Amino acid sequence: MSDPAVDLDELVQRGYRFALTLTHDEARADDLVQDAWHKILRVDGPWTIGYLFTTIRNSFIDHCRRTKRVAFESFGNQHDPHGEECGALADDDDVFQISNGTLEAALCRLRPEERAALYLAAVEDYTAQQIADLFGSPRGTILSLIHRAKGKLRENLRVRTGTTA
Amino acid sequence: MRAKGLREHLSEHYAGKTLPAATVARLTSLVSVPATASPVQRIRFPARPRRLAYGLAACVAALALGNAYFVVENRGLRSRVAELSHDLVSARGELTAQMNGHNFEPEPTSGVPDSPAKGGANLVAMRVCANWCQNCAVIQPMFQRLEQKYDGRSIRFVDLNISNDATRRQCSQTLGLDCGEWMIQQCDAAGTILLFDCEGHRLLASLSDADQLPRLEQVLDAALDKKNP
Repeated sequence: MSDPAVDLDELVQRGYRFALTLTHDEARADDLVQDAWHKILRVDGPWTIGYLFTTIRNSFIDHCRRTKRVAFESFGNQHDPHGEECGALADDDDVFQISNGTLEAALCRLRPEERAALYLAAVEDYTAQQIADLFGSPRGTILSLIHRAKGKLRENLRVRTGTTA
Repeated sequence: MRAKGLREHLSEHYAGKTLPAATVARLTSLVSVPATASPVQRIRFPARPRRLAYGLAACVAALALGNAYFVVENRGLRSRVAELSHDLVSARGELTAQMNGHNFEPEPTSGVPDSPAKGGANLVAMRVCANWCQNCAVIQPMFQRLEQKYDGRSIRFVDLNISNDATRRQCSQTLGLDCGEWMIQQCDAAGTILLFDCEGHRLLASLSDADQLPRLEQVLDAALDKKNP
């Protein structure tokens, strides 16, 4: 049964956004969040955002393995000394003047794991450790992943907006 | 346009992405259903029916339960579809369906009145479509041509949008209760035109490709000639 303190509407919407970062497709994200929701229903909770994110991510990986649509690359256990010292998305000093479509296109070029990590860090304000717990990866790996995702996104945006570093 | 940081851009970008309110309401309503509720209540699951089989199961549900929320889970769950449909129809004791491979195979039922479709039409051509179905866009003009060609004949043209609860219910009501039995006979995917014989309780033909249109017309002509020689 649900915890009355949990705003389920907000929970669904946040789950949907997270699913969207993984799939980058609204219809598939819709399916994914409903799939995950049903899985949680089966075990009757808990209705927490962490559990929902984990279920969504596991469902996504299951689906990818089943359909073999996306090749999951291991992002290795690389350390980024700069990232280690900063927060998950601390060096957000670059500014861009971009349209939503440009960002959409730039995000499209990231891997699902990169988009998801970036989303969690930037939008959900997750710390690297929280993302690491969610993904089941070492913190250093997550920092490296976010650092590279940011770099790729920044590069993509620069290419698309015609700005130079 | 104001220049913003990456974090701000991402926050704004994702803030605009939301699920439709109806979907959210349905999902959250599931949480409040007690675990001890009957199976019929528990299966109010509103996922997106990818395959027509799911839509058909939803039709059966609509027939059995009126306005109950019901559609099935979305992936790889044929057996679940069958199970849910079976639960639903058994709950009302009106229809019994079994799953066989990719299709539902109806069992003979007793006590179900064999009423023809309302409106006096003996044949029903149904376009099964869904908002996300690309083939539906290809099928639609063919369906309209058929409707124009057979205007005034003893055939009823019905659209069944399986992604729309209201349409689905309306269609089920239009066709009559026992039509659910024919609808679950043979169907693969959205983007199909189905031709039902309401008197013979049979699925006469199905079309999912433009090349099959002449064949469907032949079947349709033959059926109309047979009924009105």
